[in-house]
Amino acid sequence: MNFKDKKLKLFLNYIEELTEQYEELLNQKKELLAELEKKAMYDPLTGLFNRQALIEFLIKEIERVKREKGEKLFVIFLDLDNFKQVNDLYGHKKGDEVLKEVAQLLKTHFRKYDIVARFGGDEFMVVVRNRTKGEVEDILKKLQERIEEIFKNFEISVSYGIAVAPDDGTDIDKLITLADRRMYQMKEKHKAKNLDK
Amino acid sequence: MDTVIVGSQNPILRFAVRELKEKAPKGFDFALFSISPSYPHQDVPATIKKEFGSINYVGFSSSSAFANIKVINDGIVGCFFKFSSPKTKVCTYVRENVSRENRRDVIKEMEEFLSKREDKLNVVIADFIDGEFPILIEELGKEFQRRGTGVPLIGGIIATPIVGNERQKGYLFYNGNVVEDCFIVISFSNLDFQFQISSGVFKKGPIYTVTKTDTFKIYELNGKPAGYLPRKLLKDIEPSNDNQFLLWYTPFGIVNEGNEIEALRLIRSFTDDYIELWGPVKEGERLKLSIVLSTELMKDAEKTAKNLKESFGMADFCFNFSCIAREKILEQFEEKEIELYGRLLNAPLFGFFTHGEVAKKNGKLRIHNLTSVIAAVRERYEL
Repeated sequence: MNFKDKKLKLFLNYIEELTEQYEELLNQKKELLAELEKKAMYDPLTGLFNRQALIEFLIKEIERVKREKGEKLFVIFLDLDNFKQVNDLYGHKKGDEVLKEVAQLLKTHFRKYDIVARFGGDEFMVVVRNRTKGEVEDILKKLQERIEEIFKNFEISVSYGIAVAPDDGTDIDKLITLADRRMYQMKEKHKAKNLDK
Repeated sequence: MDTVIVGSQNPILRFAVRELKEKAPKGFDFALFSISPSYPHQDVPATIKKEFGSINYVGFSSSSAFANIKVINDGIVGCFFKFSSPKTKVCTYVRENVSRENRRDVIKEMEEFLSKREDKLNVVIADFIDGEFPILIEELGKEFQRRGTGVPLIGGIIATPIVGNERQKGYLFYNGNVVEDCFIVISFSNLDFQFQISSGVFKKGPIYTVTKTDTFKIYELNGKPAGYLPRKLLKDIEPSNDNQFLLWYTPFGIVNEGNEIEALRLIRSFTDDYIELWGPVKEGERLKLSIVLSTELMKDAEKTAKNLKESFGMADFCFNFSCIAREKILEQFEEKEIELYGRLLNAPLFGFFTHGEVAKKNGKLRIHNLTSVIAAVRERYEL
């Protein structure tokens, strides 16, 4: 092999390395994009889905409910009672710990294929399908009792409101607003009860 | 400024120096001598003194040097300067016995010398000093950047023969002495000058991150043992002594955040565990593996010389420090590059093939491999 042939072989080997490196880079790019996509769907503090992921999920589920007669979809809005005073009295670090624990409780009370999301601050949303309203209410009551028990020292409870598609309509904004309004009704009742005490 | 550059390949040092003396201009102010390591280095100062008498000069070992448009191998080249203005002066700073132990002191001394010479042309000629000189330049460059100073410094590491992977020691001849483990900075005042750096490597290529290194040796690239890469590049090429030169065709470029090449590095040797380079690299630096062709080197050299001519205009003289790898890669066009510089810049040219070039690129002073530093110089005349 003369020097000229060696040079040619070297350049061919270089091109082979170049191709392999670019393929590796492309794979890395794909992995990175998948990771970014994943990150864009989750709330960094609690690890639950974020608001955007929940809305995207709701859009698909509402379409499914519209197509399949008899299907019901429960849109649940939850808000912690007295959470503000945890932040005020014990600091945001403690507040974050409470939010993480509540997130875990939500995950364990609902099924893997139900969508549990942090909507913002101390607000959470859950989208449940293939359940009866009675079953959903039972789960929520159990969850409420568990939260009150765990966070007794902080006097934290949870208020919630449920909207049902298609009974309450199939417009996402309206369903969320309705669940939010019903959650407030419960919150008002909790406040009144606390004042009576 | 009148500059005369002459060479001789007479194998007897005394006759070679005498030939130069005969062609040198009368009453020159300063001389640079490139002297082949094939001559007995210990006889150089006495021979110069015998032939020229007491003159102001700096000499250095170099396997080859440029005398205008000719490459003089295994000979001696003299570059004689006769200045027109009494304001034009040459000041030198010689540092010998450079070692890792006195690195900090040497950098400080260099900084002090150069900080007063921001408006002067500073030319450094150095031995490799077992890798100490490239480290000095990299450290000095960082220091300049930290201080925001723009001292012009160009030059090269003298190329001496390499036997196996061992590089023969180079010497400087100064003040009647032979000095080793050394470098010299020659500072010319009252000169206008501009310099450019030409490379000609392909700008695309795979990029690796240096994850483990020991100055000149890369142990890991992208977290993998580095030795795999040269082996892969030389796959199915039968082992031979010239394979180390073959890898000069695939240099590494140290790239910045914008993936632009800041400095080139050539592979010196490799084992399964590491790749040894001719210049230092740091952990975390990103290297682009590139390729180089003789035609591209020539194209870039032409573009560089044209740019220099356009921005500088008429030159009295040119310095050229060109990597020894260019000599190998240019093959039969070895002399074409300096011919091209001579033709385009239309001035006498002196320089030599190097084991590392010194120049600023993108505002950073660094040690380079595989480049050609070309400087156009003109004496300031009084009206």
